[in-house]
Amino acid sequence: MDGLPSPTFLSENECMFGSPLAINLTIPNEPHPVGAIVPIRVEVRNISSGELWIVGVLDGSEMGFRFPHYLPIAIPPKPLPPLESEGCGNVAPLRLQDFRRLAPGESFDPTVAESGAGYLPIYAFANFSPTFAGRFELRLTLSTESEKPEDWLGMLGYPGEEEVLERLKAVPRVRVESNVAVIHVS
Amino acid sequence: MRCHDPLLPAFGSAAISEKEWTVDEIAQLTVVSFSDKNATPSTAGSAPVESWQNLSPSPVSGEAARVAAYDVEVPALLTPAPKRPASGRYRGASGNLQLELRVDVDGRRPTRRVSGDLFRVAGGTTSYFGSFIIHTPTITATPTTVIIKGSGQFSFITLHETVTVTIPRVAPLAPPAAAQVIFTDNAGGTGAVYTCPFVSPFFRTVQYEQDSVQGTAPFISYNTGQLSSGGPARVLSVVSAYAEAGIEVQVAGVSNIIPTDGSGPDAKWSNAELHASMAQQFSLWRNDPQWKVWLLIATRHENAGVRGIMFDQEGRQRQGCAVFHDLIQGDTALAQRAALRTYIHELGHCFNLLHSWQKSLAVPPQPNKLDALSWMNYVQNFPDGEAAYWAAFPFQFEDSELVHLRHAFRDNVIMGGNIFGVGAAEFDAQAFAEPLVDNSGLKLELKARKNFVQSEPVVVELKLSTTDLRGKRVHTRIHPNFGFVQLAIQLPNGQTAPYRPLAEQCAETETSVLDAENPAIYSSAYIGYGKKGFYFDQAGLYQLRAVYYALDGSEVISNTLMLRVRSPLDRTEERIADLYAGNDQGALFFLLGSDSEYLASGNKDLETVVVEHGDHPLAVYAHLVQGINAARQFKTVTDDKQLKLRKPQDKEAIEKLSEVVNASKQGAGVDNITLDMTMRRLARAQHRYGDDSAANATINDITDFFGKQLSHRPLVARKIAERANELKTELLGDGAVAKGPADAKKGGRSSRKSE
Repeated sequence: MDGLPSPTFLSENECMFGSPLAINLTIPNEPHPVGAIVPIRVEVRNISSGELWIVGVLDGSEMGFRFPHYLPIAIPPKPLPPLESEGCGNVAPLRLQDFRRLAPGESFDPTVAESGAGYLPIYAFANFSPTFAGRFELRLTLSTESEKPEDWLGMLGYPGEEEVLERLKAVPRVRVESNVAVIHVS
Repeated sequence: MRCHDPLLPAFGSAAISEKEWTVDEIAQLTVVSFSDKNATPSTAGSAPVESWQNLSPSPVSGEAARVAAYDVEVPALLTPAPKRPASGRYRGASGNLQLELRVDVDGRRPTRRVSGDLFRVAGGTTSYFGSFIIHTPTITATPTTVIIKGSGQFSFITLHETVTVTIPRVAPLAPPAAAQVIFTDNAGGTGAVYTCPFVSPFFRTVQYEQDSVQGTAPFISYNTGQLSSGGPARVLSVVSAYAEAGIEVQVAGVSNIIPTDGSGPDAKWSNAELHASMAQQFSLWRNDPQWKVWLLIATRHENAGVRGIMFDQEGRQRQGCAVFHDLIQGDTALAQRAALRTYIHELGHCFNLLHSWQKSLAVPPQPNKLDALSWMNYVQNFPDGEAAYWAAFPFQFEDSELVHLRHAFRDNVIMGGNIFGVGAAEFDAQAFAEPLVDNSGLKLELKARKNFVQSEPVVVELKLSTTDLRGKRVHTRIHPNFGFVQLAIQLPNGQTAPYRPLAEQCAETETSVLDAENPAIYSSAYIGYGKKGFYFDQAGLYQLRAVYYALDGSEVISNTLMLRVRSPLDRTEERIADLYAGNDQGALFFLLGSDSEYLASGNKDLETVVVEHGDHPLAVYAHLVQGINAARQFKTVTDDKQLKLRKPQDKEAIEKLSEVVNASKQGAGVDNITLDMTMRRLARAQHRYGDDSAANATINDITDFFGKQLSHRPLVARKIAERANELKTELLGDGAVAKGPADAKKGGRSSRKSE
């Protein structure tokens, strides 16, 4: 996302003072009727002065059982039915092509697979279509905090593990909260 | 591409999932849906053709099933008296070999294949020998006999590749007849003959032991009609769900209740704890391949959110899995449906099935299928959303998974066989040709000679082209060394190996646009030797497939290239094969030569090839390595840390490279891309040596030779000519006569006059 954030957002990046990464949720500033899918865009930006590496959303990231964690939170005006998500622990391996290099100021969408990366949509956001009116708040937490390789590597042996672990050292260990995206559904 | 068309009425209905097909219907369906797409049912019904040759090998549950279920009325003349189905498992012996045969040509979701495993009996021991599969057999059904014949894909080397299975047809209640199996060679010579009595209607049988942690409750069954979903309503359990796939799951062993102290006081299970419990509690467990699988109902995994896992990835893998009661418990229909999926899904991993969106991680890779209506997919990954998934999901494995479960080579499926992910999808060369819809706008092609002698360097040509002439941006470097293209090699023994270059090169991403003017890029790669050593050191049939990771994330999968490596025919070939076989030589072929003293032994052996057998066609590779290395400077660091520079040895380079060029132009040398590179290096060496007229002639020769060789591909010929002209300008100056493929004939003669 380039330019200023939409006025409907309350930016919380200032809370992340010192973090080299910022994460922003973007929602079109337009009416959101009940039942319609709300397009939610995710952007991770390098706000440091140096180059860094990061990994997008892999399977298990959203459910929090593999790193990086991309943990979505939705606060509806009243309870939503639970999502029927699967959760098999045999998550995909982390591969070199899953790493994304970000120059200072550069950003990327961690849910869009490019150059062979195995990124996946964030399920809770991908088909977000509230079935009742009201004010919804969405937030996303990115965590790369784990130093344990097994928390990152996945469950399927894959060639090049040494290179992956070497590259992993260049990923900053952070926990970043996104802005709060507010959606008024009517 | 959708695996199934949700717009069809009654999709997933009993017509597809529960229909019992007869061989006669299958043959009839073949005629209507494939042999003549314009044929009406009546004309098709009178057609005598009963061949499956050249047909899509997908099981009869996709397009063919729908055609049959909705579009075709099987004519009355093809409704013979009911017969007992031919499909099932048979077993017989011939000499010291036993054959377990799987016939899959009728019944529920027939995959139209025949496969088998061979076992060698020696004294009191029986050991696995190898497997075969016939993907596209010819099926002939008469009132009295079913004959299935086809060329098999074998996990071992054999001359007798044609398999004919004959099964007498009997009344439904009569005892099943035995199958006769005859292996023949290409000349019709008969090899082994087996008579195999019928064993079971199931293709494979697995013993299943289920243990549970104290305080958990096992899932029993779910009626698929309780919630709206695809497929007919029926009660499914682990046993019945696998039975629908043709796999018999026999509950066996001792079901234990495990005290919770096995997982520590927090009742969370790590993978290590699960594995230790399996070794202790799985009463049928051995660290060997066997058709036995264990499922533990545990409380919860140490990673929150994990509902199930195939944790067994040490030693002999895939023998155990776990489901986590705390997350999947519940009596509601939703909870029961989810529990059923979790059980079947995790056991599917034990059969070496990967997630639908991870098939590309298998060795060899297969296309990912986010839209697969399979036990192995995630509801949340389905592109059209959860509701669409459930509306269509018929509670079954998808077609390629069914082929894998029933017919894949034994070690690719059996618990404790190949490691997880190796052989994790049926390597079906032809399955890729038609059903895969590819919107990448790109095409990747592999090409190589069909035959190589053992230890001869195997080189493949890669071509990446656009099918979207509006233009597609691609990586320029498609050589496997750069990582944007990866290759998988299926070995003659059925195992597969990813090709890993000896040295992977990290380079800045360089891209170019493929369009009408520049529709393809090419590369040539020596893949005979890599990080795992030699890849083609056994005689036999190899299958290769490559995948290109495109800039937009697409995974462009190549054709399947088949090549055969044969044993040396005479003593000279044997001698050269021995001299080429060392690790040093492999590294030298990969590097195209080196001065390194660590590779001195290899250089010595290559020199022996040149000295002793310099005129032999196989010597061209030694000439190439020596010539390319001689043509370049080489830096070495001496023991006293001094940098030593060896200058190009142009006289030797010219001599060696000329040998390569001459042999290759006569069709007994290197591939075209390597030849182009060799001729360019030769011209440079000639120029450095002061022989510009020879350099000029060599460059003209590039244009002439490839202009003729590639007359059917004028764009490629023009590209080569342009590069040759650039080289000429660089070496000989602007005054040199430029040539192009259009004037190759007239220009070639005048240029040679100046030599």
